[in-house]
Amino acid sequence: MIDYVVSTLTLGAIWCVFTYALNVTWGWTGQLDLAVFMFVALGAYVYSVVCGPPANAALGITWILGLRLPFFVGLLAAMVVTGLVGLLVGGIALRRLRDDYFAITTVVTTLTVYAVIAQFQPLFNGFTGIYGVPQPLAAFLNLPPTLYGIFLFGYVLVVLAIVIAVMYAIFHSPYGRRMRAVREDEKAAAAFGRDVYAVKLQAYVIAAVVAGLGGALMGAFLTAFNSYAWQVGETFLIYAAIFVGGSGSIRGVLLGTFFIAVLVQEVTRLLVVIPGNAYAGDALRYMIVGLLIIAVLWWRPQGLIPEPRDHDDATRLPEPGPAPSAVQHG
Amino acid sequence: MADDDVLLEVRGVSKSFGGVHAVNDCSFVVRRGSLTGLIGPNGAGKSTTVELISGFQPADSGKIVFDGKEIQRLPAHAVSRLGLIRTFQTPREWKHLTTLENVLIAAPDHSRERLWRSLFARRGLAAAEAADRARARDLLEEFGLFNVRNELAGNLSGGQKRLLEFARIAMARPRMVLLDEPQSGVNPVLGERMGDAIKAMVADGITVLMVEHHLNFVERVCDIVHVMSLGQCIATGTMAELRMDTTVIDAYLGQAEVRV
Repeated sequence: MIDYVVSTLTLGAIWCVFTYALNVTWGWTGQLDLAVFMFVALGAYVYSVVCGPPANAALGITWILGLRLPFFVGLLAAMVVTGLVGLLVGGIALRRLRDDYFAITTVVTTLTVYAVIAQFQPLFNGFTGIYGVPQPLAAFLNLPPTLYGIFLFGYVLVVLAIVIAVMYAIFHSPYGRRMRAVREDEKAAAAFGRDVYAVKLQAYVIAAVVAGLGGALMGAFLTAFNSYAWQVGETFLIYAAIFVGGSGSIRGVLLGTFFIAVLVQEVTRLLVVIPGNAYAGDALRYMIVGLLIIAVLWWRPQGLIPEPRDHDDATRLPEPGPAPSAVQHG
Repeated sequence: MADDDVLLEVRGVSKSFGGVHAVNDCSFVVRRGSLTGLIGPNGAGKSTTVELISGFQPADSGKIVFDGKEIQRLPAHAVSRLGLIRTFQTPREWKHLTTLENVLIAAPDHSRERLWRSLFARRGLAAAEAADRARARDLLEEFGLFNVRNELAGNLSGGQKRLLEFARIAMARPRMVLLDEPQSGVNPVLGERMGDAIKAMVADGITVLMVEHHLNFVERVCDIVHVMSLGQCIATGTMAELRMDTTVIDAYLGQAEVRV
């Protein structure tokens, strides 16, 4: 039981990192990015080949690298690679495309990358994927499984805490305010001297790096990663978490992710398996998530915990004289 | 014309949309410190001219010179950073930001908006912004918006949004402002107030080019007026002179309800 709870919470915390990534693009700069899970997957693959063992070509197993490097090198490599891919994808897609065209480009990019990774075996071993990736410090600590699971949860929580701290720093700064100005009205932002393309591209790269970091954690947690672990549908779960929690809101994202990726996921797992229909549980899960999104957008469009607003509490003494009036006399 | 007196020169600028020549070899100048009007019948190309000058649309041909620098190829944000700021026919406030934040973003100093500063030099940020915040509060007070400074700008009334637009421009301290129909959808009382605000801008040394349909208002505030018709600048003068000008009267023919 404790193993189940700890691993569920660990996975939930990893999903929070994904959602924070999307919150930078969708929540703060208003980009309908449908490629977020592609960056997660790239992060997981890169982590796996940097920290994992070399492939065995004699057995027909092929992947690049296999360097067996320490976990922090894998994290860094995942962030660097996803950041560069984000720069490339965002640099092209954001240059001229607006809103829905941008969204289409990101989803097509995801499908293309998915097809290449799944079919091109020399890269990440195709559909079978990479396995045997050692867990962070597992050999060094040499703990029993339950205790190591708790350690891994703590490790993920530390990374999540750093991500949240960075998110707070960005949100409550002129840099974050500029992002929100671009989200609210690009033309007005340009009229007041903001390079809208640069603002959006920077946000896109930040999101790619954070998603890559989350993917690296995922790779470390699963110890294996293949193309069944990521589909376009995953991206919609992250959007669901943001909508339910509150777009742009750091606390809302945390709540929304645990609600969607932990509570709904785990509760629907307990639903009675309909005989003869093994996929009913999955289908039901997506239906429940869809209904939740509709319910939130209908009754509470800003989400359960809305984005906080700036509050200026400077007080001023009222000016002496008559109360201001819209009607001018004399 | 290259004298120092000219802040903005539009020289032979054209812009077509498909087969429509919205702006067709248009030329005029705006003198430093003036409040210049830009009038003309509907479809004359006034708003397109504003789009071209401000860099929101690229001109097909011609030159736009601002303070001695050619700007016709610059993107909108670069034009804005040179100190040439435009407004829009309908106010474009940042809806889910507060009124105060709307004014703060207009501040000309963008050096605090660096990622590394928000991550590693947070301590200095609030202090560095204190002066801008104080100035933003002063401006909001001046425009009667101090009490709604923590309200989301999207919740303000139409008139308050217009005033917020002026507060943002005052915060930005530009050298020149392009006002695109500041009087549209504004009640007469507020219109008076905005007229005063525009005159105050000019008194502060900001050059203004104003597109406007309310000719009486133009006559009251503008020093000099350019008339556009069919994408060209066809006449320049004071409103009193233009009322006598037969080309101008012809341009407005067919719009009989407009008494020039």
